[in-house]
Amino acid sequence: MEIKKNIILKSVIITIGVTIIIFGGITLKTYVKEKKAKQVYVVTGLSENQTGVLKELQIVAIEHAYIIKGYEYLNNGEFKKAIEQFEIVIKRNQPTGALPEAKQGIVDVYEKMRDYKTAAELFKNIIATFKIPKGDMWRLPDDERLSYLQYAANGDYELAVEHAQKALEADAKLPNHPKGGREDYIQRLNDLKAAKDYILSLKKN
Amino acid sequence: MTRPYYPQAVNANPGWDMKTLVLTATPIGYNRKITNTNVENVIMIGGSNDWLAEQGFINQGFENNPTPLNVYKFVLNGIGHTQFSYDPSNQNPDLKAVQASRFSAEMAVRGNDTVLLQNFLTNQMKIGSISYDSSTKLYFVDLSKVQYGN
Repeated sequence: MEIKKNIILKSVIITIGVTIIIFGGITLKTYVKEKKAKQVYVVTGLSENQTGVLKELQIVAIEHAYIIKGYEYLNNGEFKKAIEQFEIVIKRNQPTGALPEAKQGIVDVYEKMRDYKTAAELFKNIIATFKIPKGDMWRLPDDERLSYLQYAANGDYELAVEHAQKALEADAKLPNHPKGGREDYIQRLNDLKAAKDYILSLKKN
Repeated sequence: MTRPYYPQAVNANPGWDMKTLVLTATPIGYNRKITNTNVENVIMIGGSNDWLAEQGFINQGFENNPTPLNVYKFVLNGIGHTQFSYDPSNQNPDLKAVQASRFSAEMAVRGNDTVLLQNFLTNQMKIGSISYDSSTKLYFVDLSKVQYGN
């Protein structure tokens, strides 16, 4: 959709946005794609008819919206609705980056529900798809996460917390990741600590 | 030809609440700054066959920016300057251009969510489609190996 410049400026100002700038040709045009969740994509510099990136953006954004919605439900404690959103992506089976995210989202839901056993089983399936060797820094946070989920499922609270801490630290060492730890890893560690009594009760059973 | 100074529009309008800029095949002058304090992330996507890559991409990382930026620099292997988008009406579009467009789009939708952006990136790392060079801080992307459905 092509709109006039003043509308573009207004849209940009009132929203949190992402700009894609492509310098690819002689006749430059500006396009705006408005999406839900107060997100606007401003695409500028495309040459005449070379709008394929907009088509791709549309395909990707549709699947991504389910992921965003799923995490909104998860953060509100509406676990069933969160899983439904992630399952929609899996059922639609569109080849976008949202598909693996949906599977990870379901793991996040079960972990938040303190169903560590199910979370570990599902996460193990995800890890099985990795092609880089165990110990590689890019998978270390996930390997540590699987460990702490399994320990938590078995009621080993201290070991679970230890490996959740290791997961956080391993993730913080990755390039471009926040050195103080990423918010989701911190949150999961805190959730684990808050579940101490529950996890210890699993050991007794 | 006037050299494009794309960050200038963002800098000249501090009210623009742009959290993330995705600069695809975009030449950036050396030592250019982004002064719009709303911008937190810059995702630079270039091609290994792009004649503008060295001038406006490899040597520009916003290292001395007034406000710290989280800069991601991706090199798409085998992609030239005219392969970052394509004509959707073409029944047989350049496959590389389609792949490059898809990659840019995947980056863009996650631009406002650091966790999802980094998860997408690490997901690709774990299947070997992206590699990282810590000396140059460049991510190298093999678009033929990028998977979206696994």
